[in-house]
Amino acid sequence: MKIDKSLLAGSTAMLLLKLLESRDLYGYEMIEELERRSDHTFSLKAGTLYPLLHTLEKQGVVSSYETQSPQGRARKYYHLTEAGRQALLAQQSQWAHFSRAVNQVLGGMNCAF
Amino acid sequence: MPSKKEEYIANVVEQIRLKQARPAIVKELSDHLDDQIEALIAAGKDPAEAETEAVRSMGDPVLVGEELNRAHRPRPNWAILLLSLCLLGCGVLLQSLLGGDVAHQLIGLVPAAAVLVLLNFVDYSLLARWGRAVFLAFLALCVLLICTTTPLHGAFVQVRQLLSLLLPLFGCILYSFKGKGLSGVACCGVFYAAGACVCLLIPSVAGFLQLSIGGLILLSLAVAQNWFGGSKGRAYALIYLPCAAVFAYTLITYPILGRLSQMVRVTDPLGNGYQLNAIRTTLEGASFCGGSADPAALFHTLPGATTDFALTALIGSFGWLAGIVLLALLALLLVLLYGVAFRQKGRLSFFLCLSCALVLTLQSLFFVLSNLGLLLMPASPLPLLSFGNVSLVSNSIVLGLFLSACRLGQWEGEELPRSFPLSLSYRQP
Repeated sequence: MKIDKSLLAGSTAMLLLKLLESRDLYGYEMIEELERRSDHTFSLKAGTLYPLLHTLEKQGVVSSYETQSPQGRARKYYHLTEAGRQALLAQQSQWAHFSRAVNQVLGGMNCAF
Repeated sequence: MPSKKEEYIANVVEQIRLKQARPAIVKELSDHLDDQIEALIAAGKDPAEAETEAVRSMGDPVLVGEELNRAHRPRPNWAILLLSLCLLGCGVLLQSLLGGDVAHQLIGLVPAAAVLVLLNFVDYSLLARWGRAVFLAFLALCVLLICTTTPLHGAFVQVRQLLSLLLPLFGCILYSFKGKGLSGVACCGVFYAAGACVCLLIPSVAGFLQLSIGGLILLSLAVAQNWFGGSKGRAYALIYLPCAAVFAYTLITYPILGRLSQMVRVTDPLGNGYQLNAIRTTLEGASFCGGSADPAALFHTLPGATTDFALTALIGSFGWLAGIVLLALLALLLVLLYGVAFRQKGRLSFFLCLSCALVLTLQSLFFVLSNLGLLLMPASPLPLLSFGNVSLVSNSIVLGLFLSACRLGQWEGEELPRSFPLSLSYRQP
């Protein structure tokens, strides 16, 4: 199903932080992981990903380092910082609140998420 | 003939104004495209088709470049910059409170403030290549000044005040010997020795001590971080054995212990112990919110009341609170400096920032120890606050270098790959 881009724009940062919660990833891996986890709903363009990652790094919620990927290539990995974990928690609860409200208006009932 | 991939990346980075940010981005985008192309080839496409599609799936290069540009804009550290300017102002205020030479301090303030602001915009990474040359040129300048100026009371006072630049430059020397093992450590020692000799030539015991203590801390930290590579144990031995030897020799040859014990209890208040006695008497008359001393009278009883012992005079005339407020401002600056230094990603910016913070701390420590009548240290300015023109400008240069390094430090490092199509749609500045 084709999703309106503007719906995704606001929450992309939160999704990226969530991906990094379990392990460090590099850019290409993040796009693949996002596609996999969203069942191919979200197909993030690299041209959107990297500016966002660099902005998140500037804000201090992620950090980066160079190391060898399992395939033996040098790649720039991203890591979720402590500040990033806090930010993720805050954004997740904000999203829960938001989506609950949307569902209430649309469905007229309290959908637990 | 540049490939589609290279052409795309060149178009992207052209939008990024900060040149230092470009190499890392080129590499990251290049790696990404390689992975994408490989995946498409594995899915059955032929290489040329895969490259075209991979590039297309990245998005418009100009838009991507503009987004990246927004994420890579260097910002000066406003807190440190403004606090430094504030402290320079406090220095003038201090002179006026103590009835000192306000005009002289104002004359020094203008170039100091200018240097602080302007150096902020300089590219500190020039010191990566030219660090050693600048260090040696600086030493040559000191020697030149020694040969051409007349000494005051047997010392070349103006040159003395410039010495706060030695430690930051030594930090750059350290950086330049990365991975060079024991011989790297030894070379640092040689540069140190050259600096130490110039200090003793002036003579500036304060400069010598600050270079030595600061240099020891920096070297030890570098070895601990495995900066030079090789055996850490041997590196520490190479650093500390000669130090211990020189220290032991100094203790034996000079009556330092005797002098130190005289500082604890003044035995000669009208002779050698005059200064220390005057300081302690002044401080005794001070309460928390006021002091019994009159600044005008202090000028005659406490040598250097408006200059080297301005803090003593301040406390004596206006109470401990005034002194505490002044020192708290300075302490705040130093704490900020260390915080920023240890957060530096780039290694040159780390060594440079840390050495700047160290030299300012050591100067402050010497000044405070003397002014509180605890230990009469060799004369040292209180950075940005105490009386002087050359020392003001010199310490402002140190802070300016710090600001430059912390502004650009996160983009320190790589070079563009040699084969990168620089001529392709690159507008040369």
